[in-house]
Amino acid sequence: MLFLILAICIVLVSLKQPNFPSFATVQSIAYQIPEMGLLTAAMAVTMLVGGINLSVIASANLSGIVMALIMTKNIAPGTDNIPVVILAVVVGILISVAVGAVNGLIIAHFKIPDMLATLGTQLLFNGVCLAITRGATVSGYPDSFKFIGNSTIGGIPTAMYIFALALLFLAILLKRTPYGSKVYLYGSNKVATMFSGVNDKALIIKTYVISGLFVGLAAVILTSRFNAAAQGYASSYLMLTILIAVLGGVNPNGGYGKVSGIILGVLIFQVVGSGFNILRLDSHLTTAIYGVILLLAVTVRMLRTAK
Amino acid sequence: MLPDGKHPPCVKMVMSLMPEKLLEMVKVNKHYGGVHALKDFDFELFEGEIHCLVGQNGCGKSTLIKIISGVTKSDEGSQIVMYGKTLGNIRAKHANDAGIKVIYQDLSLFPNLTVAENIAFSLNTEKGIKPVNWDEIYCVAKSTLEKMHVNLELGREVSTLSIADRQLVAIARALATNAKLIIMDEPTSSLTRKEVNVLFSIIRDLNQKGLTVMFVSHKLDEIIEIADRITVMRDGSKIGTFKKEDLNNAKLTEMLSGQSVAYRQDFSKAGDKVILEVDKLSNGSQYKDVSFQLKEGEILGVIGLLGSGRTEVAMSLFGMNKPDSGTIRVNGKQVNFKNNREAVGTGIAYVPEDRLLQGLVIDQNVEDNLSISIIDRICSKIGLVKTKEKRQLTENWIKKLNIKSALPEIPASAMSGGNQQKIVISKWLATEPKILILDQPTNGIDIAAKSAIYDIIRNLVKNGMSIILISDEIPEVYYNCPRAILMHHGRVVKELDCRTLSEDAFEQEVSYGQ
Amino acid sequence: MANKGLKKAFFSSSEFYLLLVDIALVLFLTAFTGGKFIQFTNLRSLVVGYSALGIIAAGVLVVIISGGIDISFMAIATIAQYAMAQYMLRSGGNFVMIILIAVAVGSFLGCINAVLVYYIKAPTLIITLATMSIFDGILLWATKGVKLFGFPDWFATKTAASIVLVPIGFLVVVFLITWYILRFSKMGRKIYAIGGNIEAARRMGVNILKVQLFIYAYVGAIAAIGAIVQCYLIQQVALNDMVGNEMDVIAMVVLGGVALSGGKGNASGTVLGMLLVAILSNGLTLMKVSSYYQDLVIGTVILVSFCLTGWKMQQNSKKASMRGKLEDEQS
Repeated sequence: MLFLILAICIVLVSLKQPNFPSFATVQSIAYQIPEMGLLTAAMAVTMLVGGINLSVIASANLSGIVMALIMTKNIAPGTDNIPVVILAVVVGILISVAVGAVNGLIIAHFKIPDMLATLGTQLLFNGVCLAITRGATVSGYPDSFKFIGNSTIGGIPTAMYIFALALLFLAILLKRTPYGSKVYLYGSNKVATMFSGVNDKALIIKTYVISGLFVGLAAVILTSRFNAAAQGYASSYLMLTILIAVLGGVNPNGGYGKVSGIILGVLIFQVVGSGFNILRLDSHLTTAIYGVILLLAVTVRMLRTAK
Repeated sequence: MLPDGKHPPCVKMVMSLMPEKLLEMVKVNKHYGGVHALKDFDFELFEGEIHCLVGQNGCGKSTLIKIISGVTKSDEGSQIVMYGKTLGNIRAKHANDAGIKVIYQDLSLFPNLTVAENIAFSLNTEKGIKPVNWDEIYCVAKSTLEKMHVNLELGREVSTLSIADRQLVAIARALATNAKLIIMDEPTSSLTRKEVNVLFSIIRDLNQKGLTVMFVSHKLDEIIEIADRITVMRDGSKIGTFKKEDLNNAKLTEMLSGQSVAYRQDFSKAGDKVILEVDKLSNGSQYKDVSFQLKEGEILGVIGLLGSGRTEVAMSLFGMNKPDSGTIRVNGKQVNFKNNREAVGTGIAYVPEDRLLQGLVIDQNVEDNLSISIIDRICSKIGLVKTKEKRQLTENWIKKLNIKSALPEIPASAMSGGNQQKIVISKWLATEPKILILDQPTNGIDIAAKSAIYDIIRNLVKNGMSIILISDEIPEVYYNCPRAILMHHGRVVKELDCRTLSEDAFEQEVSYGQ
Repeated sequence: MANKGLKKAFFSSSEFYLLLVDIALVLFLTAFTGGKFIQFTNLRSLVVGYSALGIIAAGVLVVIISGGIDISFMAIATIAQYAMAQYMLRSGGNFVMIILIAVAVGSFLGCINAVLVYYIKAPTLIITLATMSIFDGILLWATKGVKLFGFPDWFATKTAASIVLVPIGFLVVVFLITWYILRFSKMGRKIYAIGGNIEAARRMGVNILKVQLFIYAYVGAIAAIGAIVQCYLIQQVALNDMVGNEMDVIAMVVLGGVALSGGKGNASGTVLGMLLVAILSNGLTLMKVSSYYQDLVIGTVILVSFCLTGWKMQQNSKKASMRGKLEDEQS
């Protein structure tokens, strides 16, 4: 079903710009897919258990800022220092994981609704970002770091390999581990799953930690591509991650959604986005259109499950 | 007010006078898509009577209620007569105006509003922009409760009330708007004996004052206690309408199921070893001083007429309801479960009462449902699930318990009630428990599946498992359990020996032995 | 009879604690800043900074009580602001007209939300997230982000007093209306009913669509009024001004004691919540805490208060189930 939509979109865009389906286009799209895809995966995995994670962007920004600070403070401009870069990357990912753990703990132990909890952490970590940077942008990274987001290996952007590995990991997690079974059952029916002896608290915390992991990976790629980090970056991405997740078949109420759907969702989004670019649509208008698409996506989902 | 503007005549409940026919249904049919929910249903309801509607789950009771209250329309050609006036169909607003009120099983109250506001809520749905008159609300609520001789704190939030009190609020709400007929759907499922007594006395009192009551239930004993007339339903058809005097438990069971269960006693010899010992277990006012023993290889029945407390005890045994005091010993060792995983680890399994909400995740497939409780055990070293083993497990259990038409990949919702229950039981059997607790395991299940489940249980104990069977159904306990404990209002009243008692004696004890 | 219950409820409610916290904050800040806090200039900046948000909080309160959430309200406010500002610039306008226009625009957009929420069975968060993008996107695209200023004379802030009195006036009126609706109108009680148990409300004959239309139109209209006040205070319309402050408004409502699942909350709580957010932010500024740290502090306060509320709710539900059953035993 999703394949069909993707195919139609590609055809439609190619009509307007005949050289759309070309290697160059694919390559340029491929640069943007990893970050969107990883953020969407971070959102999607929390939706599978019937929750939501509104702090993905704030958390990504925080990771990015910390990574940037570690690098800029320890590496003179123009030079490179790979161990420091590696340290920065690791710390960045750990921070997002920690944010995920905080989210999970608040939701599991204090029984705060996921929306409120992640709204709160979003505000908090945005605040931390602001406090650390005092509104400034941190930029100027060493080449080895920039490599991650801006280079290709064998013609495919480096980031894609990270994305592919990460999603492969997620797919295995969801399909082939006990955790995956528990996630789908819990998202479908919390009560019965708890009666069956599943530790719901552990499940939730694990889920938000995994979400945090994906956020961290996305943060590395984002920061590398933007070559700058600041509070408030990519804030419009939040709705987009929800949009793509829903587009990709994830049920916001929990229990349904596959990795393949997420991938297709991201692809469709990128194609549509490119289409908007080609039509030279104003970016504000595209934001509005995305809103309409989100409404359509949830409507379609509702109609299909009502059958 | 009736559709044609007349007021229905008021009839006092005097047996010698010919009571007015409130409602008559002739050859009413209802199809939901392809399902024939009501078949040529004939029905009469007289003013001032207490009429019970009995039937198993899925027999069409809810459909009938929905048609009477106007929520659903019956098929073409159905004839419905209300207060002597023929209607093609009843519309919800007319039913409401004519005084027909339904109290659903979930009570449909507003937990965040006060008792007073719930009772007088219809004032809020009146037309016009007159401001809310709180004094009027409190007045209406107070006077309605006084009519019922019930004392409740008007300003209290309904969410803080016990279920029995909430039920009284629901009744009051129906009464507050000039109810002539109150239909109650399964009102006593969560009440203790004492609470049921209160409820019944209120119903009788209101009935004396002219209120017609229709009671829907599957609990045979309470029906016989309160009803004037009883209509038995099965599979969408009316089996018959009887006066209370003409019925007893056995006849009802036979009519409800369509066949008599060929119950036979087949008690395997239980061992002497005490595998579970409960000593003076208490938890607030859920239950008090509960003590009993479970021997290895036996099926212990827990029966309690209209009593809550049994499920609460079971959940405490399963680690989901921490008791205040008392001890639980498994194989002589005291246990203090913090959660149900610890209980499972000790070899206890619990098949919950509500199959659809607590037992199964009906939207997911059979295989996932069946394997969820042991999924952590069928992993390889790196944490991946051994899918072949998982599939084997599922297929084995499907075969072992003869779960017909089950395939690992189909959703649990596609199975019949009996098969769904077998899946739940398989799920727990897969954890290799020593003690299996079954809570109302054959609720809403057809006869064939019931027998099959009894066979399963008996085989299990022959192979050494110990089982606690919690049930409302007297024959079910009598024929499966050599020993049963009787619980009332949270306490263990006595222990009954089914080997030596006759079935009638057993029934006597259960119904009246308090 | 009703009053006795009310008094008892008040002292054990979260509002009481909130009031205490507010008073404590004021006292603390006054002492700490050597009295600067209660000086007129500071109070004035308090009003200027937060009155618009406070007004909007009154509307958001209503949505949350109904069990839903609306995060498109800022976008709606901005559109309404733009509409009435254009009107003023083009035809001089007057007091009554700008209110009418703003409220009309706000209600209309709110109705769109209501219809979508009613017919699409998806979480209200996601639906209003989508409409927020739509409203915001269309506005920015159509207006190209132009700033509006140079309003007619009658709209200008004439005296030092009017800068404080006008917003406060609106604030008081809006909260009084909201309080009245919630407590004394049938519509208000239906809103609580829907928040408590929407199915039961349906069965009791409540027209859910009508109530949703009212709710979302109301928050749209109130947001629009807040936008007018905002415009009055800074004498300009900058399209990116208000969007982005959603969290502050939501914080005001949530801190004022609502249940996110719906059915609980009232106007006085939101007033106290508004005061808390405003005083806290203002106080931080006074204490020379860099504005960069303010979000951090407020975020922490919010999270901590959520956790406290969550913990308290768990305690309460344990107590309630015990209580209900104990009384059973005694009767």
